[in-house]
Amino acid sequence: MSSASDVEWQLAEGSRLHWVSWDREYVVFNEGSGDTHFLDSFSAEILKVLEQFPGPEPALIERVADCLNLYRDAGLERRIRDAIQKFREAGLVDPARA
Amino acid sequence: MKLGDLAPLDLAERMKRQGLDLDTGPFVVRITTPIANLANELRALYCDFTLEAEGGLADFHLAVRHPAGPLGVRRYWRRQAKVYVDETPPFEPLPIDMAVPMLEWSINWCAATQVNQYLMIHAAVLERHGHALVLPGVTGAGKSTLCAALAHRGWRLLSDEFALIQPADGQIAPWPRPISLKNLSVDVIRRWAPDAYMSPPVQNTTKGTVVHVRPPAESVRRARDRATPAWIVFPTYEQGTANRLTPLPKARAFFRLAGCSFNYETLGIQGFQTLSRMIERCDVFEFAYSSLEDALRLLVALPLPAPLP
Amino acid sequence: MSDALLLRALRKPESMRRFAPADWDVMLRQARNTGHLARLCVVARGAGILDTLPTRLRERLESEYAAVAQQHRLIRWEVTRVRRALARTTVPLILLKGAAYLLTDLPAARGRQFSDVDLLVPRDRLPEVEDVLLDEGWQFTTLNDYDQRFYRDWSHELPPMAHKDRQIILDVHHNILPPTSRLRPDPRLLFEAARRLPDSSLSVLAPTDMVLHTVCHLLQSGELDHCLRDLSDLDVLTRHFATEVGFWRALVPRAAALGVARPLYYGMRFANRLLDTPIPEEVIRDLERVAPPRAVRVAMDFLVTEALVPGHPVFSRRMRLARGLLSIRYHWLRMPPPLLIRHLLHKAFARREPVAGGPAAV
Repeated sequence: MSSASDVEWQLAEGSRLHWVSWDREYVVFNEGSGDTHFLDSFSAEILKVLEQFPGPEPALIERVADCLNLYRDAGLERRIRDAIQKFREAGLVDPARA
Repeated sequence: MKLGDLAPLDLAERMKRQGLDLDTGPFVVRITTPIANLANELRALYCDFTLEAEGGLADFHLAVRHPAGPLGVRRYWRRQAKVYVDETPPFEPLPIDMAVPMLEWSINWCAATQVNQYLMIHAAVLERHGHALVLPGVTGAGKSTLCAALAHRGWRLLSDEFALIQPADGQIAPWPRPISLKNLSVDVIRRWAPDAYMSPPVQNTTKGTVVHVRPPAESVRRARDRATPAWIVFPTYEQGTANRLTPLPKARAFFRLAGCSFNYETLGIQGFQTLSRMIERCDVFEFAYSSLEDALRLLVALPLPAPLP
Repeated sequence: MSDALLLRALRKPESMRRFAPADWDVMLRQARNTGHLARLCVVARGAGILDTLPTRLRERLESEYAAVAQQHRLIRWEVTRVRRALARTTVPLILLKGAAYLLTDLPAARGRQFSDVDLLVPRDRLPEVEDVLLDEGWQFTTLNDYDQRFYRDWSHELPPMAHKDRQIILDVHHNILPPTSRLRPDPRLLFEAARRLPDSSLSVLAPTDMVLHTVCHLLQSGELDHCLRDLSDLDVLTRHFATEVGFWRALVPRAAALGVARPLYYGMRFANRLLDTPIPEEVIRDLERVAPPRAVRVAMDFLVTEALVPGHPVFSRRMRLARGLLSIRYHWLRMPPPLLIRHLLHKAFARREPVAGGPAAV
C-alpha cells in the first residue's frame, strides 16, 4: 500500500488537453493522442487538478478535496484513486518515470 | 448548360466517351458510362444541375461499366454493373438495375474518404428563413423520409446525407443531390409529393427497395447558398408515438454527432473545435414522431436559439 | 512515361501553374493513385504556388494533407508509448522509415503517408521485446497460424502488433531484409552506426543507412503502388543528406559493405531519371561499377518506367504486365521458389473481398 501512494501522476507524455462543457458535463480532446473523452464534473475536477499540478497521489487527493470543498475521508480517497485508474486505462495519465 | 438541356443521344454519346462533369455544388463529379439506361436515369435525376465544360478538373472520377468477363469481354456480363472509382472498383458488381443506387453510394463514398475541407456529419440538412435544421441519421431512423417531406413543404434542401460544415465560420455548404428513400417511405413520399420525380424502384438491395427522388429545382439553383445551423434534431420514427421534442444534453450530443461523422477524428483539433462551436450555437433535441404532418408543425414552430454572447 | 504530369510537377512545381485544367485533372488522378496527394501539397506550398492553383485542386491536396498530418500525430504518440513501454529493458532500439523521418524532422516526413511504426531490434533480443510488448498491452493482429509462421520463420519481423486501445500497427524487425532474400545486410553494422535521438532510448539509422534501407525496398516491395513513393523518399533523403559532410563519399562503399550495391544502383538511376535527383560525378562513376549487365538494365528500365506511373489514368495493359513481372521479381528475391508457390497459393485463397452491395456506413 505504501508504494502505491508514492506514485507520482502526470498527464500522459505528449498530451495537450482542450476542454468544453455544457451543464456540468465535460468533453475533453487530447491533441496528442487524438482521443476525445466524456467526463462528469467530479472526474473533470480531478483531471484539471492533475493537468495543473502533476505530482504524488496524496497531494493530488488533498487538492481535489480542497477544490471541491469536500470532506476528505476514505470514501473520497477511493473515488479519486478509481478515477485516476480510469484515466490511466484511457491513456490520459501516466505514472511519472523515465 | 444544364444536364436537362442536353439531348438524350448527345448525353449517351458523351457519357460513353469523355464522361460528364457535373457541378453538384461543392464538388465536380465526373461520370462515365456506356450504359444507356443509366445515362437516361441520371438525366432525369440531375436535370437541373450545371454541366461543366469538357477537359476540366473534377473532384471525383467514377465509371460504371459491365464487369469484364473472360478475356476482357464484357458482353457476357451485361446483366451486371460495376462501379469504378479512379479505375479501381471499391465494390462487388451488382445487378444492372441497381446502377443508380450503386453510383449514388459510390459518390458518397468518394466524399466520405477524400474530403477534409469540411467537417462532414452523416445528416440531412434543410433551411428555412436562413436557418439550418440538422437531422443526424442512424440509417432506418426515418431521417430521409422526414428530409424528403420537409424539402417538399417549404424547406430548402441542403442535403439528405451530408452536413458539410465549414471550420472557418461554421456555415453549412449545400450538396443537394437526389434523396434516397427505402421501402415504406417510398409510398409515403409518393402520396406526400405526387409531383416529385422518382427513379424506378430498385428491389432486393441490402436496404430493401430503394428509390431516388429528384431534388427540388430551387434547392439545386441555390446550391451555393450556405446556411447557419440553428437546430440539431435527432429524429426517430415510432409508429403510434406521441410527437415530442426532448432537449438533449449537449455533451452527449457531441459524442453522438462525432460518432456519425465521417472525418471528426481525421480533423483532430479542428474537428473538435468545429463540432464544439456548432453545438454551442444550436438547440439540440431528440425527436420522436409518428406523423409527418405533426412533425412538420412542430419543427416549423421551433424558436430560434438564443444568440451567442 | 517518365514525362508523366505528376513527375513533372514533383520535379518542377512551378510548372503546375502552366498546366491546362485537363492536365491538373490527370495529375490529380496520378497523385491519388500513387499516394502523392499530400506530398504534392507540401511541394506546391514550398514553391509558393499552392494558393495560385484552382480552389478545387487546392482543396483536394489540402484534404489529403490534413489526413496525413493527423496520422503523423498518432504516429508520434505511438512512438512515445512504445518508448515508455520498452524503457524497462536495455534492448537497443532503432526506429525505421516514416517514424524515424518524423522524429528527426526530416523533409522526407512532410506529406508522407505512413501508417505503421517500424522498429529494428537485435535478433537475439526479439523474444524479450515481444514479451514486454505483450505485457504492456500490445497484441498480435494476425492470429492465423500460417501467417504467424510465415512472419517468424521466413520474414524479417515479428507478426504485426497493435496496442489493444489503438490502431497503429507496430512492426518489429531484426533486419532490413528477410533472411530468405538473396541479399544479406549485416544488422550489427546498422546498430554500430545508429544515431541516438536526444533524451531518448531510441535511435535512428545513420544517413547512408537510411538511404540504403529505402533502396532495399524500392523494387523489392510487393506493393508497386508504393514504388514511386519510395523513389520520392530516396530523392528527398539524398537531397537533404547531400549537405552533410562525407555523406556522398561514404554511400557506395557502405552499400558494398552491406551487400546492397545493386539496389543502390537501381534506386539512384531511377530517382535521377524520373525525379532529377542530383548525383555527384564521382558517385555516378562508382555506381556504374556495380551496374548489372546491359540486357538486365534495359529490361529493368522498361519495367520500372512502365509500371511506376500511369501515363494515362486508365491503367494500360502494358502497365499491368510490367507490374505483374515486377511483382514476381519481388517474390523471387524474397523467397526461394517452393516457398513462393506455397505462399502465393495461400494468399490467393485468403485474399479479402471488397465490400459487397455498397458500404453499410454510408
